[in-house]
Amino acid sequence: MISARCRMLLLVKQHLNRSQTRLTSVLTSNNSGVAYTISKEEFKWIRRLLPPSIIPKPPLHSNYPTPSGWSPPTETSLDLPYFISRTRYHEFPVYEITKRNGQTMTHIRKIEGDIWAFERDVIGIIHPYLDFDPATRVHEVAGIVSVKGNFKAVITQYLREKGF
Amino acid sequence: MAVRKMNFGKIARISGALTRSLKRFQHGSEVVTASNQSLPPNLVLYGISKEQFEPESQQEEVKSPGPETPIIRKCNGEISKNKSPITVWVDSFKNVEQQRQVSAQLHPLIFGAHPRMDILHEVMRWQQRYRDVNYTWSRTRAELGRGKQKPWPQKGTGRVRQGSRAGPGWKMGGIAHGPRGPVSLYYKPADDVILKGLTIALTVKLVQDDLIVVDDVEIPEADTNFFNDVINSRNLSENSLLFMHAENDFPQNLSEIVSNSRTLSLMPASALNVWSMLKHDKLILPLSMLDDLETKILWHMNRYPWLGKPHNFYKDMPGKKGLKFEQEQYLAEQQRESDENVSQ
Repeated sequence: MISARCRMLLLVKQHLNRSQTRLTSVLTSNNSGVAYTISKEEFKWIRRLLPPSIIPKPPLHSNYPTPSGWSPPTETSLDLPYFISRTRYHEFPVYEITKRNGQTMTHIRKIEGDIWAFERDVIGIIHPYLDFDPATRVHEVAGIVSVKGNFKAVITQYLREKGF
Repeated sequence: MAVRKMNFGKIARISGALTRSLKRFQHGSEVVTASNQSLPPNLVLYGISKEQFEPESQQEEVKSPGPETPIIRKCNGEISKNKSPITVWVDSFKNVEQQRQVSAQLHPLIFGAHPRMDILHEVMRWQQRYRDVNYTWSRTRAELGRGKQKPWPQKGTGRVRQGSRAGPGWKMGGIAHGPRGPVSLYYKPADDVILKGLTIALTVKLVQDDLIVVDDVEIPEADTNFFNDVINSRNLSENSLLFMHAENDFPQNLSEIVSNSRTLSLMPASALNVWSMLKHDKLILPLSMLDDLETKILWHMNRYPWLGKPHNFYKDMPGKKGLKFEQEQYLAEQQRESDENVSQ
């Protein structure tokens, strides 16, 4: 199962190969008698399709949050005992999963520092939404806190407010 | 309290209870070094650290580079707000005495990574095992070279019908579903895991005082005596050393000395790997290598996933040998395009 990006890349490679063989045949001889032209300016239509390798930095906006709801991390350092860095795609490392039995869970990754203090804060955020005690799991080695239930929006809002 | 060297062979002959009590007694609260002040008091130490053996020969405290020391190498990559660059002393092999005058900055994501021992173990074990081949091979009933004859007639003997004496049910017969020929046990963990393993190994080396940053790894002359003086003054005579050099910067004099030694190794920057770092006591990096290392590791940390595997690398991937020609072509084309744009 080839992905769309991979298929595009293969098409581009084929095009490049074909253009190279045309160049060599012009230099040697024209046996087939077919008229063709070589244009290097047309390559710009292909170059814009070639996928980038490095994840680009988000452009500067005049107002935050952007229409999609994204805002960058604050410039100043924070006064909290923990730190949650952004993913390489400049998003918050908060993920929701749905198990086959319908149960949802929220994972918060990339936690550095006092992870237990962060767990206490998460419980404080989630408490008003629940009638029972929140079910959380702390994975100290990997720096992950998992919460039973779907609280992605709530936790993301908290992280955005704090300026992570 | 004088801590004497314990002969553990002798202790083993003493009864278990006494042994256990002796071991608990060895964990003396009287001798507390700077390294173990943060250990919990109920921890039982079964080995004695070197400081506890010979408290007189304690090494003088080494001060880390302060704000006054000149920084001759700064980090090129971006550093997030919660992290700051790590400063280390820059030594020089041109002087016999250890130099602590200038410092260099190291990137925190590479030399200050979270020490995941499980990832380090996984990468180390991968390096040991990916080359393994399972050579076991058993013969099937067709490969035994015998047993084509029907042992007894189909009917009339009262015995089970049999076509050959080589079937899997027979003693010394062929094996039906046994191991078949050399099987490669090659596997590869995720690229991110291998990258993390590298950064963790570098972090571990730095934190355990096993990393030496040097302005240039080449020594002025291929003189073994001079080299031994250099090593001895840094108390590295009983350590295995791993020297790294930048790609195009081969140190001729050092290579002559390393080729005559069993405990010294010399490798180019592209050969940096977890297994070698853990196998050798000390790792020595030159300044010329740090820029390349930083750009490569940060490039891989900030790139998009690969497009189709296994060999579809991005053309601007730094330092991939096989792609050099393609890289040059691609970059030359880009340069031509930009020149055309400028001229227009």
